[in-house]
Amino acid sequence: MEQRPLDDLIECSKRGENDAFRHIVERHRGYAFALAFRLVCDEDTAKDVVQESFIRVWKHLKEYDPTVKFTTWLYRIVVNLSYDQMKMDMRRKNVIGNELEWGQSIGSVNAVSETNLSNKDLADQIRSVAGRLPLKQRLVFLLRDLNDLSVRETAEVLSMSTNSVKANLSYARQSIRKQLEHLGHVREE
Amino acid sequence: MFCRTARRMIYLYKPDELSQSERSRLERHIERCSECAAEAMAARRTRQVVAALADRKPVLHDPEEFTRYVLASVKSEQERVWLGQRRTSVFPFPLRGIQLASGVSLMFIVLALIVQTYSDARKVSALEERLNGEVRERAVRTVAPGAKLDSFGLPLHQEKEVQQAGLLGLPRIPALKEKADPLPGKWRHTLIDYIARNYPELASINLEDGLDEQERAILATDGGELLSEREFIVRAREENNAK
Repeated sequence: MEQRPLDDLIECSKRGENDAFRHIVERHRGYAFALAFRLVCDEDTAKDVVQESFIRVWKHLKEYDPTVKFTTWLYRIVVNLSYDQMKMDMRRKNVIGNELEWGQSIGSVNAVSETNLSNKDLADQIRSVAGRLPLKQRLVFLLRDLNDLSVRETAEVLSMSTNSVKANLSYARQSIRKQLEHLGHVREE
Repeated sequence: MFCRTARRMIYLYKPDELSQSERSRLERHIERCSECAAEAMAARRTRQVVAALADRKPVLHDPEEFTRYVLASVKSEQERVWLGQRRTSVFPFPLRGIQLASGVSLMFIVLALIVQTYSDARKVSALEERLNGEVRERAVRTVAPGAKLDSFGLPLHQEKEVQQAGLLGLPRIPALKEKADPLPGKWRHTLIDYIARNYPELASINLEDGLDEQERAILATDGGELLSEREFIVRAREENNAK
């Protein structure tokens, strides 16, 4: 069956058609969940973030500006809510991932391709790789490298300039390289 | 190109991160600089590890259930918003001022009633306390030794004053106003006056000679306390005479 165009779904949702909004949720739930999960590194929290994001989408759908890509708008909402959650986690734990042994989790990074990792294992790996980055660098790295947003999209979602995105990205990757090197996964030739 | 700039650019390895000219300059620098070449190798390895991590997608278990959950939350939010709008639209816009004014007026009326009730209660309480105080005062006073008494055994230099109306159905209690220095014993004067007014059948009591049986019976049923007071008066007068 042919998919209804997104613009049509948005217009129908604005008029209060619940079925159209259901289609929007079905179409974007997977990516929104993956985005939130990689940011907050917890399945239940990610679900809560996505749920709250869709509620906000529904509430503010009439204010949606069609010149902005719908996915960019949705991702911005997801990222903002996830960011709040990350800040709360930072305050709670001081440093995310401090309960994790680096050797343990990085060891499993190389073995992941042949194993079907649970969400928890994946969360541990993301924490181990990116958990010690400053928050801004972490956001840029997660959006660009793990969620595969373009530099421009990353800049739009985070309301930053592309140059700032590139600078943060470069620093984030250098820090990650140092951590991997420290554990013997990347060596200078 | 400086090594410092090159090191920064080495980590911008994805296609849209460097322009063509930047990439050419970087490649030329790496060909000449062994340290930056080593850094570029390390960056490639980092890229592989990160790419392997990016390939792993978090799994949304039971997406249909999750969708139902999300839509239920949205529906509940819809109802909440709808109810909120309904609450505020009970009155059409021009009449919303009346709604507000009615609410404020009602609040003031309730507040005024509370204040009035409290004020009344305080007044009643103060009056009761005052009256009780007078009764107590009368009860503790005794005949002053050596005081000059009239034929009723009362000090001669006291005078009766107007009686005050009782409050809330309480018995009318006579009040005395003392002229100069208050003398003990005025309660007896009050008592006799009270008996004369409220028990006219006892008007013939001769306090000098005591009561007859009938009078005693009346006092015993209608005013046991009055009887004992009367006996106290007689006793006090005898003591006074003896002195």
